[in-house]
Amino acid sequence: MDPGKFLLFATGGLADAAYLFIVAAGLSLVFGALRVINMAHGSLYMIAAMVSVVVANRLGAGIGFLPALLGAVLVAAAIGAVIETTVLKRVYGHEHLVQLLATYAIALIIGGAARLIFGSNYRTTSTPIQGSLTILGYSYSLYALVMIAAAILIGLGMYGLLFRTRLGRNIRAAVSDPELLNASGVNVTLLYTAVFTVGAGLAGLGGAIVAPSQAVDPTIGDSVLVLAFAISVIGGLGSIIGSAVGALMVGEVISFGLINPTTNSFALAFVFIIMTLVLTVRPWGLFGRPEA
Amino acid sequence: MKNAGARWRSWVTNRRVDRARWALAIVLLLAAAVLPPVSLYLEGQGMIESARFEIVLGVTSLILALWAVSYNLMLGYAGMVSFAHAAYYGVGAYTVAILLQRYQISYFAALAAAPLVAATVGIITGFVALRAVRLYFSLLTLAISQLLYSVAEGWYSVTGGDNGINGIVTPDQLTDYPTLYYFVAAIVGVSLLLMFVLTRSPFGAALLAIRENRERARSVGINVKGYELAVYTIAALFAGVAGALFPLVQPSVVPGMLFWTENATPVVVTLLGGVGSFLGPGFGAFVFTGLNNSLSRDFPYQLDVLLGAIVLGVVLLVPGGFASVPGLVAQLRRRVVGEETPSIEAETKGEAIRMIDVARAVEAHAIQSEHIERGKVLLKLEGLSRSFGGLRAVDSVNLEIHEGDRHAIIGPNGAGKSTLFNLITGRMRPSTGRVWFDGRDITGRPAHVVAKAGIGRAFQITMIFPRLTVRQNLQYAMLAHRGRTVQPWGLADRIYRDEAIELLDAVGLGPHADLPAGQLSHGDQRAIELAISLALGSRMILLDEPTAGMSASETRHAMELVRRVATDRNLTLLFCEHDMSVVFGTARTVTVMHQGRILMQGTPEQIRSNPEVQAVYLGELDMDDEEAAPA
Amino acid sequence: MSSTGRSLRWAAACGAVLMAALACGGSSNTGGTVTFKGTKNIGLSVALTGQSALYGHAISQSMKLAADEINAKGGINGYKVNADILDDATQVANAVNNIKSLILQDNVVAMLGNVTSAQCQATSPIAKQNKVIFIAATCNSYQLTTEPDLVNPYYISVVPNTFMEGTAAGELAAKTGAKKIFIVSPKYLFGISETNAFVAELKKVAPSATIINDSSTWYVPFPTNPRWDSTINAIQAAKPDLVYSNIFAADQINFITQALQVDPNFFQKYPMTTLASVDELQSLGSKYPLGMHLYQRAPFFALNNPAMNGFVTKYHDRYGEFPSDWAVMDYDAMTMYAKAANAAGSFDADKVRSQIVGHSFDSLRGYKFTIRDGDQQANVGETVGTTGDSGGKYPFPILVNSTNLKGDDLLMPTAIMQQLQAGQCEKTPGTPNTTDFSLCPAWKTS
Repeated sequence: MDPGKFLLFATGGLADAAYLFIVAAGLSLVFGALRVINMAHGSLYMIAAMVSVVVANRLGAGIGFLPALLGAVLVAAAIGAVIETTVLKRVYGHEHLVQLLATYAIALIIGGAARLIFGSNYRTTSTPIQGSLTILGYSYSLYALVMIAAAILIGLGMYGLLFRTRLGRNIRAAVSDPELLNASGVNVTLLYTAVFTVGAGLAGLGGAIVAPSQAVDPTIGDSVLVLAFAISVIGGLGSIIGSAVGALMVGEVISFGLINPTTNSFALAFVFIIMTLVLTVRPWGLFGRPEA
Repeated sequence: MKNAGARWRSWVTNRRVDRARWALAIVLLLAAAVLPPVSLYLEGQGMIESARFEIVLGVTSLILALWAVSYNLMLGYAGMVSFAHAAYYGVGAYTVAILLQRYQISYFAALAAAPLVAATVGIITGFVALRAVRLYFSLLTLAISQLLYSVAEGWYSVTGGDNGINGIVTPDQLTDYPTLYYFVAAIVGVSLLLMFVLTRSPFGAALLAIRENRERARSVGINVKGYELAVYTIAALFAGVAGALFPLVQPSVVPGMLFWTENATPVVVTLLGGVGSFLGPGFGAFVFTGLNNSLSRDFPYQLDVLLGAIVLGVVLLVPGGFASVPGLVAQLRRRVVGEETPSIEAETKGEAIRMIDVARAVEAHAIQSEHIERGKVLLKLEGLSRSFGGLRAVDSVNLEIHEGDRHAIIGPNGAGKSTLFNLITGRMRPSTGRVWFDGRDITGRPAHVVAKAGIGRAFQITMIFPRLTVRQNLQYAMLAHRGRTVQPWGLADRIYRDEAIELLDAVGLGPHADLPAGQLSHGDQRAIELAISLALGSRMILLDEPTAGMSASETRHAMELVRRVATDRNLTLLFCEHDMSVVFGTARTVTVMHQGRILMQGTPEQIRSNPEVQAVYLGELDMDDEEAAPA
Repeated sequence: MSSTGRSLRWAAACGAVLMAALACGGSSNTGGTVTFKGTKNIGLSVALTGQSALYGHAISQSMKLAADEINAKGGINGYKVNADILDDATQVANAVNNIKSLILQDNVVAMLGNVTSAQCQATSPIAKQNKVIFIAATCNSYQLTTEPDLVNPYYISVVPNTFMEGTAAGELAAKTGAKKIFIVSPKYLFGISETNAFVAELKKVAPSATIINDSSTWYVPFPTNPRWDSTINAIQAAKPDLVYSNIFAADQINFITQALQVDPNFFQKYPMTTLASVDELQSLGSKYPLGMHLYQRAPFFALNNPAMNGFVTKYHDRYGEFPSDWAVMDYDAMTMYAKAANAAGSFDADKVRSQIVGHSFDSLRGYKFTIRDGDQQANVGETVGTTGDSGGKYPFPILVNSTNLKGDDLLMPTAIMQQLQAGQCEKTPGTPNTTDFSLCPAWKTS
């Protein structure tokens, strides 16, 4: 494979990895700090995508993108805050199954509501940035590169949030030593709401970023959820770096795996093989910590 | 006895609720049994559109009921949340489809083969899945489910790939709808009966123990992983039966049946029906099917929202599902009628320990012990060490405990006492060193093996089975320890019942025998703990701060019991304590630990008067401080 | 009353709830206007939600329009026709439950087919078992009428099947003169069978053309990953003369959108032959690339005739949008059934069938089609052409220079059809689901 081709497929995998990272990071963060598996994460992604498309088309595709994105993220974050304060509060500390069911029920409700409000048809909008680059003889979508850049920025932003702010310090404490956090006088209730809202916002951000390059309908959250789970598990629940590495792995496996004759049939299954291996050998993931 | 009336009423109410639940179960079974003729009658009267359709719905509900109850075997009885159960259902369906379409084997033979195939796949994948625990176990089952789905989707030559297998023909004998219904009902009925027997058996008791408190279950001799694998496989087997019946209602089998999200159906059904009840999920299946059918016709767009709202409602408001309704109704009735809800907590304020009849306890048949030779070395620790990262929690400990000794280990917080206990009982593996018990090397052996070998343990935090009754706590512990829990038939609640009650009476817990252990006061829960560790007939008992949380008089009584039992039965005691009166009143030998190492060992008097020991306790002495190192 | 008695009474009430819950649902469809003897239901279980919702929406609209028109002409055999439509969310299990409900509870006299072949596979046997006429206007895998375990005398197809479509696509590709062809297709029954037909036809009419990607990479898992980077990049790397695809709906939209983002001239550099329908054109609107070689089943803008034009006007007036290919074909299905049932003077499936098989029917597509015996397949044609500007007439590109390939030229040869049904073309003998027309003895000698 010549370098041009290699770069082509590697970048393609990065584009895939980009939005998966953003979505998985939110899921992972929520689990790490709150110990809650959020089955509604995919629904938040979907709602944000739908809202962003509808708003962008209203405002005029292209210029309307940024306000649409902001609006979508806010909507997702707001829904997240509502979910946390009304439902999740009551199920903290309960068995995982109760939390799973509660968030699964919410996913059903959001999905159904989306269908009622927006209809089942899919919608499209234009990317804010048109155009392509040519490198070493192959074309690259400018927007895909923007997506990758956005993911990197968001990753750095999250790093900054977690390691340079007080909120971040509290979040990390919630992840690694929940008892210490309780004893330290931090308003844990508010912290939990904040974390879940951030996680929801991230899911929404992923959806809004991806929306201009694909058809958006109420079902797009389902496939994302499975991959986000796999990535979070492989990378380590609660770890941002883990989500990045996991997303990278998944993206590249899909990109290279689908075109290779031998691996084509199980490129997607490969993700679950890795997930199985990680869970049996090192359940807390490559970069995670064992549960307290 | 105070408030005997209130106690009696609460017992009667519970009985009433039990009877209501039984009556409900019987009525539901009868309703299911007469569904076809009743439907035909109603159709004749013009009250329903089509009896055949109702019967078809009934068949679908029966299959779903079996699937959900088999899921609940893992969930409700063993506390395992699996996302792979739909895969085994799918395997059962595929087995029938492949045998029928490709090999032209009769449906009935295929029906017999399907559960075996499902169980085989189940035991192999279950073994992998159980490498992880709890949440990670659940996530692992998700991954496994997706892998099995990929196999079904990709293995074109066998499974038909994404195409699936189609045109499956119902056998001629079952084309008549009522006949089909009763056939399915018979298969489902037999399966449910088998599972029911299992849940009431000693094997089922072990599952409940695991669900309530895995650690405690291990320490009474239950090989938790083994039982979990067993129930996982059995559940997969019955899922396979349900899956094998599925082609009777749908002539196509597709890979999508194995997708992990398909597990939502048995989970929701189980939730609706009641996780804690055996037949609850079965009823949930009928309600779910009916609900789904009526809602999807008239409100297709709103169906998801409604379903989500119902599930959320049940999760938040009625977590016990439909099966808890009798209890809730009884509560409501009480409130409406104005009866007092008997307050349980107030009545069990540690009376138990004060009422210990030590002589009776000692004589109680429940406590078994063999006569042993005094004086020989029973437990020997050789160079035992355990590090966590850079921290050496236990550092080169050498210790010998003689048979019949009452040996206290003392030391300030963080000295390594609990870690040492964990290393002995198999909860943790040592980094280096060896542990010998009665001449056997038990270094690093798992907790349940150590328990069976003869070391019993009472924990620092109360470790009981909270939702089981006090009597069941003791009974199940005995069943496990004496190896009876492998038996999948018989009534677990009958075995060792009298012995358990005798011991409970002796330790003052008699009146509370039928209360859920979790409702008892802390002190009484400690009494249960004590009773369990005594009943196990261990040769050596490790007591990790046995009197923590007890009042002075409770402590006196408890330790008196322990002393008498130990003396009479020649039990060896190893305990760690902070309460010095207990230490000096009970121990014959005392070992002092500090920062993971043994500081010194001697009689209580020697230790009490030793200035170094005093300094350690006052925190003056720091082992890392070279100048102040002990002589 | 004793406490036991109380418990029993309460428990019995719950039992009644159980029965009531099961009895819920079902609708009464009797009664009509003065001029009708009663009402008869024609059933449709379609994707109103879920992955193929885009198609289901148009199908249900068209069916209702057709029912109204039939009723305006006096109904069928004096009965009013009711379009009994249920949503199956593109799921197989729901489709099965729905058809049972429609047949057993609503006593439908006929069914229109589901959207996906996977669903039709599951529902056709049930229709057969209950002797209900099943008219497929959307799902079209040839296996549905020729695979031994799916053969169903009551299954009528008014849509070109995958064999016919693949053949049409092969001819279209051959006409472009392309030598190096790249294939991308969804990996399920429809995709695989149509691709096989395409490759087979290509080999016949353009033997010098080669498929440049390995056959195991032709298929992408279905439902697919929404990002198509891998395939787009593979095409860039392989530099074919032509890309053949039969990906549809959201997948086609995603593929085209992302390909254009990578290179606005992507489809000029790598021309594409693909299955399409008015739905994809409408969805992307002006963003749908020009110069694409499409093959479509019933695009209204290419089938200019009085019946079609009238239908388009009525449909647009009533629903505010243009009818998709599926809407056209389902309308044809309804009018065919009405004619046949009226001719038979009965709703009995065998009698109606005898008025269908071997008979010809008008269609919106501008020609009469005939249902042949053996696989009950209509000799309906396929429209091929290249996309171009509609000149402001429609908010989406249409086919310019389109040709309506004749159904007779595309039909599967009778010999092949018979051998398929006899189980002589199975990869593993005795395994009906490995049926493949290219394995038939008659194929190898043709």
